[in-house]
Amino acid sequence: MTNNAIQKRTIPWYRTILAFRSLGVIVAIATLQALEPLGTSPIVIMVAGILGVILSSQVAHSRLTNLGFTLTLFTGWLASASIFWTLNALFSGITPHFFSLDRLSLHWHSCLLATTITATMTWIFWRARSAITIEALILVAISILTFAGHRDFHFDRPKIINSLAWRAGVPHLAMLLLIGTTSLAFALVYLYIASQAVRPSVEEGRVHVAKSKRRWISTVLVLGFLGGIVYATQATLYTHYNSVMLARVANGVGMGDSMGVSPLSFQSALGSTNQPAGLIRLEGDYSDNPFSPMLYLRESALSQFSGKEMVFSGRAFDTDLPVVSPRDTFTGKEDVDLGPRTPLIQSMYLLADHDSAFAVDYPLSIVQLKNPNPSRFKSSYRAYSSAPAFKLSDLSTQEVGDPRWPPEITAHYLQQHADKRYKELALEITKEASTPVEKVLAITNYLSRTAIYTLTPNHTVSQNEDPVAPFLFGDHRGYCVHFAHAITYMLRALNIPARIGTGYLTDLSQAKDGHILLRMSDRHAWAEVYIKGAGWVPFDVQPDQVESHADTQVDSKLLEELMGNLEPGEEILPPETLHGESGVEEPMATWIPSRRTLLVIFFTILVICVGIKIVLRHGWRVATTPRSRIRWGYISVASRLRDLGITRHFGETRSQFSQRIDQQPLEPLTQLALLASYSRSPELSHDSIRKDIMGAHAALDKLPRHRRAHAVISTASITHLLGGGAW
Amino acid sequence: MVTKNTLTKLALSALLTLTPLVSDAQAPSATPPPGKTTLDPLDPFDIFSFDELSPSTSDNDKTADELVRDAGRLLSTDRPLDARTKLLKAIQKDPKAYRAYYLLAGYYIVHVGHYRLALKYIKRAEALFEEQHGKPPYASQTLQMEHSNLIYYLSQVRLNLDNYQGALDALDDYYALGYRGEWYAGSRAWILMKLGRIPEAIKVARQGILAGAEEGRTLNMLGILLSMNDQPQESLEVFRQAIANELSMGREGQPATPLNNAGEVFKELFEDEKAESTFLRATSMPDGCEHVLPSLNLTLLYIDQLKNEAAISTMDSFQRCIAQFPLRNNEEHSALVNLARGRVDLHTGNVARAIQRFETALQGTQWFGKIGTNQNDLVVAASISLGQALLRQNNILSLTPTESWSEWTAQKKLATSNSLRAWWLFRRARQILIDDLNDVEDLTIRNTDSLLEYPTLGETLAGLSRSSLRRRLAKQREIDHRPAAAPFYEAYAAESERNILSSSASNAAFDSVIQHSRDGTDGLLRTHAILRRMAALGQDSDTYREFAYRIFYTAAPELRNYGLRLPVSFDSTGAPWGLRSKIESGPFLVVSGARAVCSIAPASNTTPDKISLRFTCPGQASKNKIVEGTSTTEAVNKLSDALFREEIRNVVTN
Repeated sequence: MTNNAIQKRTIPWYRTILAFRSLGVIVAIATLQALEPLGTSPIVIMVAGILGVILSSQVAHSRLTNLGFTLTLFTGWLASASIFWTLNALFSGITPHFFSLDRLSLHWHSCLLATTITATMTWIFWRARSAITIEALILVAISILTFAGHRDFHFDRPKIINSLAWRAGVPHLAMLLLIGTTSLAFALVYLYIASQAVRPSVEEGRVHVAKSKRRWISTVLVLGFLGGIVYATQATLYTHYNSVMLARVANGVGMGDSMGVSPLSFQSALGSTNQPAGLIRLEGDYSDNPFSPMLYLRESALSQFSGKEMVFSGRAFDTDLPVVSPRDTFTGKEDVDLGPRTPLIQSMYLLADHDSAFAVDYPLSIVQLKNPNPSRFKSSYRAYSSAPAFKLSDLSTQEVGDPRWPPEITAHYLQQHADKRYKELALEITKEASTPVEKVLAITNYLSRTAIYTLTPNHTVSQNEDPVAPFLFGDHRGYCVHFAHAITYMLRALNIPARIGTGYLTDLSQAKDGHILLRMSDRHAWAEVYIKGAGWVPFDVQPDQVESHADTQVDSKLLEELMGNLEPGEEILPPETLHGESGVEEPMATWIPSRRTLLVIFFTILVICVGIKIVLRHGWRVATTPRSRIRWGYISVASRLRDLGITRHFGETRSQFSQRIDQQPLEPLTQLALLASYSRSPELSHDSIRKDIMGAHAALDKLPRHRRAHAVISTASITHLLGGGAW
Repeated sequence: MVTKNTLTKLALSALLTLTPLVSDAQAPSATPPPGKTTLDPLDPFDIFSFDELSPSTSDNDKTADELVRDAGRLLSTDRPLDARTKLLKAIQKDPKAYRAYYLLAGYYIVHVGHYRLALKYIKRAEALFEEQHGKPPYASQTLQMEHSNLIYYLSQVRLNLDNYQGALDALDDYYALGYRGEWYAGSRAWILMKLGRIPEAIKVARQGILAGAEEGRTLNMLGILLSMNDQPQESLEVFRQAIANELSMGREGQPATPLNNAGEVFKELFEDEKAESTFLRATSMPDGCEHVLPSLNLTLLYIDQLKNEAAISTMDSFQRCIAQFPLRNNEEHSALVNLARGRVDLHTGNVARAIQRFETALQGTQWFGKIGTNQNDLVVAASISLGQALLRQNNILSLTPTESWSEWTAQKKLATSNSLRAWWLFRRARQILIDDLNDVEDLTIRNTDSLLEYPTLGETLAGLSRSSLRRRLAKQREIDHRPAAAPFYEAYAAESERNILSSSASNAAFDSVIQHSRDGTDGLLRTHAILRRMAALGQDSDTYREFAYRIFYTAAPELRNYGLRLPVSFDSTGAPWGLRSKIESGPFLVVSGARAVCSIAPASNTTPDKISLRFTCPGQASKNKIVEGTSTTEAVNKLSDALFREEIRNVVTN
């Protein structure tokens, strides 16, 4: 086809490409806005960017040369600068504000910049055959830069992945894969469409568009093959990483309380993340907290030595633990011999899945709470704890162990490591300590002084080797898992009953209104010693040397947003309470569609698609005039042919098309259409038209059943219609 | 402002209106009610039905009034969460118990800072109060007291929600109903100030003092108002009274606040010595580190004076002091501390660390609003400083010879991204300055409400159109008659001229700035002007050489930060091949011996296979350095760092 003014609507995929590129502009601007405020309304910038795509596509199909396009852009910027310069010179003294024109200029140039960038990229797309390769490379480069952190298990970076993941209630690895798949699918579809599109070329002052060649089968095969690779890769990635991810992102402290198994990981925990794990609401002051401002929330305890590491011992021991799911109820017995204690009530609202309920010290009771917002919280419960109210300094002379324990329990808590070096070191460290508690403190103080806290100790330990030895007898680089194990082994070597507590360690100074936001980075393991009359008491290392640690600042905005979910209901404060008050607008919450909403959207689209198909197929039946009946009849057959994969080629006339198709079912209708188009008063009867239409369909009904079935579900006719294609 | 003491007083006043109670408040039991397994957190009437520890009395058996009384006691003994629980329980017992609502409002104002929720409670309390006792006025003194407390809370909550007119309306109601309180004058003056009605606010504060209003707070308020009304001397006099008043209160007094305010006035008056001593006195008071502002003001003053060591020492002292309060949340000042420390790092040549600190300061903005400072001020200040740091890093990179092509490529990549980012940050800062900060309202030099670094602000302002900036500066000069401020405005105009390549106008203006800026106290401004002037001079000129040594002796890191070279002589005796070219691609300009004061020469090797360089400056022993490296490039870069990067001890790292 040769023309000076090409009809863009006839260029295959023209509008689809515009739609794809516009969508890309929207996603890019929205992402940029999320990363850093753009200063100008993102909607306006999006519109400017889309305008760049459309205008550039228009001129790319004209006779304008590359030089002409560059000059046009340059002129645009020059004109813009001149206009503002002139306006400044003429009117700057008139406007009420000093910088009105600068303000306008900044907003205007943001838009102009967006238009220029999108227009340039679109121009290159239409005019340079290698543009798609360059775009693909840019996309890959951006992806690599954006997701580079994931090499170190930082699956939650950039932060938006974290936010999306916990809001959608999926692990952030899954979210990352989902984003990756979507981007890849988008890129593949786009690449396919872009490869199908025909580029205009300017020769001898005229613009040409070449015919396109479509290879459906090969395309489908390639896409299917790529999709298969993507799926297989993702499944492998997920299986491989997910098992270690939880422990990695949680400071090496995973979840789970299966007998003989440890949820702790000695691998590097560099993936530590601020992913929200739960919200605690303290229902009363805890001014007697001996660990203030820190708060230990015990989830599980590891008291059995497996020969290699500490593991969960089952329900026979550690009976102070509730070991129930957060969705279960628990009633325990208060140990009246333990004191001083204070009642402490905590309401827990979990933002991530947990296998076990956790609470301060040991809970006497756990009851379910009604979930205030199921789209935010996984579950909620209230724990009634008998919390420690003793002073740590008062424990120094206390005996360790519980005289009520039968020998087998005492023996259980004194199971020792086979490596004699633990005992030797413990004796060396505690040689000046007299009481057991002083010995415990000597060991924790020793580690606090000498250990280097790092999330990447990078010790090389084989399957059956002791993972603690390289830490304690080596470089002293490790994190809570190493510290807790080392202390426990050394204490047991001194006949002090010890175990490892796991759960969360949080900072009460970051609480607000008694609400504490728990993050995965708050997951912690610590050593515990049983002190007579006090119970299991945490003894933790506070390393002087910190090489790397997880982020510590709590997201206050998120905390406030979550607190808003727990605010008093309308029973206390009716909605009209703030009637007439200004400045009290509630913060906008991010809308995440529920599954139900998504299903509704899906079915709505489905119904619309079916409706369109029905109109296309049977619209001719309600046509009133012969001409319109012929037109709709032609569409009926042509749309069905398109769904069967039989399409009119670019530049092919309707007559040529009807001649080309096997058995020529469209031929009578094409003739009728031509007659109706070019004859002033054609003699046409409804019956004859109907007969021709039905005849055409009858011919198509002879096609194999699988092809006809495919045509029923195919959306080709719908996309063709929505893309503005001619029949 | 509602304080903890006020809340306690109000809580106690609530108690006075209640009937005597049967027992003291007791802590809740840890056992849930029998048979209750599912609770509704949205229904507070269900969630606190636990038994008391004491077998004789439980919250379940108490009346709403008794629970409110318990809560009042708990609030006065600093057990807010227990009090909250009791109050919600009281509402469960009696949904019309308006006292529970208004004590909850007080709790949310004082302990939580959740003003929207506090407003809901106070409005509900007011509605219930009027429902039970009818519309005001009230004959009973008790009802009058309760109603006046309600209105007080209402005004304070509205003020915190920036509804200034609403707050003033509440105070009008308060006054019209014949209620009087010590706090009234101070609050009204503050609200009027927020509404921009300064003269009226001054009048109210003065009348309040005469009528016996809360003296410390009202005097402080009056001092601020007078300062805003361009009456600095009167303001200082009032602050003197406020300080004396706070000091007379002994342990209860909070003298650091008026001292800080007085220091700010001295700073705005360019009386640097007095400002410094006042800030120092504020920081030495027992309440001196309750807030970061006195330390921050002092640090920024030192930075302006190029006293970087003193600046760091101030921040160290503040952080050591704040560490005494483990329950204090760092979020309220970490952004400001990082901003101040970052600026010191920038001016001492530790640019990479400065960039990190500015980024932290920018990220911390989301928590900043809670201390009442304008968040935009911080965003602008941190963006500008970060942009400057990125450009300085580019300058340093341009004077850093590389060993390999890969290093060179990495350097160029970093420089490109720095340039783009700096452009964006300056642009964003300008946009906020003119959009959200009302046509650069903070242009008044040393405006203490802003966090801008005034000596170098021109670098950002230069991006605005010249005609608009000229008009704005002209307007500013009309209203700002402080002689010491003039060189700053001149520097901004000079930057603008420089930006449009009008070198003669720019040079003349910078010369004027160098001549008229104050010795020592305007150290940073003068250094900036000299460096800008140097950039316009030929490197072989005598003036360049003179300026270069002047900067080298006073603020050496800035020379490299601005991408300028130090003239040195080079003794090539025994020098390895290529050393001279490496030195010339570093921050050094090799000139003939007679024209340079300092010199570089190969030193006798102390370690085999290493290249040693000796830098000597006659009469400047502290500048003499010897460095060694495995290659000529490493040796030159080490020498560059040794000369142009100052390491000031950092006691506190965060």
